[in-house]
Amino acid sequence: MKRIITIATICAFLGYILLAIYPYVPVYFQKSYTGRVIRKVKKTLAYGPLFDRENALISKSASYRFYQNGKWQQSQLLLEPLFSDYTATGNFAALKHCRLDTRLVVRINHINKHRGIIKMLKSKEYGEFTDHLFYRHNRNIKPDSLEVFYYIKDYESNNMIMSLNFKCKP
Amino acid sequence: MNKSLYKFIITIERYIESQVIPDKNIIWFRCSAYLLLLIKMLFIWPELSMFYRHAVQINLGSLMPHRLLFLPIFHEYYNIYWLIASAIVIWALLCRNNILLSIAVFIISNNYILLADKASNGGDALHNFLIFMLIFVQENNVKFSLRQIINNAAIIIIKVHFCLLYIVNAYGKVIHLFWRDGSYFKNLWHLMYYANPNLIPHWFFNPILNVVTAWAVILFEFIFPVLIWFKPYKKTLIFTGLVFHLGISLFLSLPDFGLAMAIVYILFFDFKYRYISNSTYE
Repeated sequence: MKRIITIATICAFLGYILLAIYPYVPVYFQKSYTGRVIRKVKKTLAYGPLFDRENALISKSASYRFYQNGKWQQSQLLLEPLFSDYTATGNFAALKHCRLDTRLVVRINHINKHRGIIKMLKSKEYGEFTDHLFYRHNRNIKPDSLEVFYYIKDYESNNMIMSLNFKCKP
Repeated sequence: MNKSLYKFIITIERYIESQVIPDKNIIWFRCSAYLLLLIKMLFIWPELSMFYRHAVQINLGSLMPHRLLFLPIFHEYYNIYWLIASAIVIWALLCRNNILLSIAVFIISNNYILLADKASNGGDALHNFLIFMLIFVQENNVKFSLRQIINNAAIIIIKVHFCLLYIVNAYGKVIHLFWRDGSYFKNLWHLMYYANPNLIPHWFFNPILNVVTAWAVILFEFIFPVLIWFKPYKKTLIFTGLVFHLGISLFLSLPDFGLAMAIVYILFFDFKYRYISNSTYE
């Protein structure tokens, strides 16, 4: 039994080495079934370079407004109030909520960028985003129309540039 | 079996057997890991309905223990489930050597991960991994017993995981120009909804300091996994690492990540231990 545990431990070490070299293996291997399994294991173990993506350094901002009761309402910032709540009061739930909203809006922006607005509006990610937005940011009321603005920061000019803007009837 | 391979396995086996891991390390490590889970669970409770509503859309409930929470039967009672889950974590905090409780806490930790899926980060995954490994870790082991071998192997795996994570991170950073020239920190301190503007002092924006900080982080991540195994460097490295992760927690609004990493340092700390008989130690 002791021998089995030792061999399992050695296998774990070998597994770590395999995971460590994974980011540097050819792309076709990463896209293969084995590659995808390894990526999933890496994510589950939180094993891999952190804070190394330049994309993660892009500041993002999102706002939205609803058309309901016969008029467009004032535009609301999506992330700012949540993050401010966390920095002012240490409300961890607000920080988690801010992360969730960021992830949801980043995903629809990503789909829009790569597959176009029509496919984005039909995607399940868009459904998740609007469902969450109406439930948590509009007291579970479905508005007549919705407009979303998503900005990313350009570090050279230091300005926020609009990356996504759409109006739709949900 | 190949002779040299056999010799290698025997060497590793003897190394695992010979490790003395004081109970204090294990107890503090277990308590910290479970306490952090409890804190996270209690803190997200105000938004539990939102997270649950979102999670049931993307996670199918099943009879698998970690997916039980998402079964339709719990759709009305998730608050009670969370209350019971919190009580189990508190119970596990107070109990010792209860493998069933360790498994239950691991299931609860998975519930948390699934619930806060899109709001989770690497810290949650690492924390979940630590809680999984705690299933195999127990106190009051008899020397050279099978129980102790399993215990030692689990703790060595956590330590090696942690050290390799640093090496992988150091290499992942040093190959990027934006880390080497310090521009990573220049942009990081301005990152909206991430860098905490209330806590970051103005002098953090100094370009020279950005380069120094970037290289200090890279060097620390290269040095820690090598020198932490040698006693004279332990205290300094543990202190530096704790400051480093506390900094991440506060300045980068990643309290869950910073604390999960800090917990692992407990395993590297040399608690004093004494043999209480020929066969056990505490």
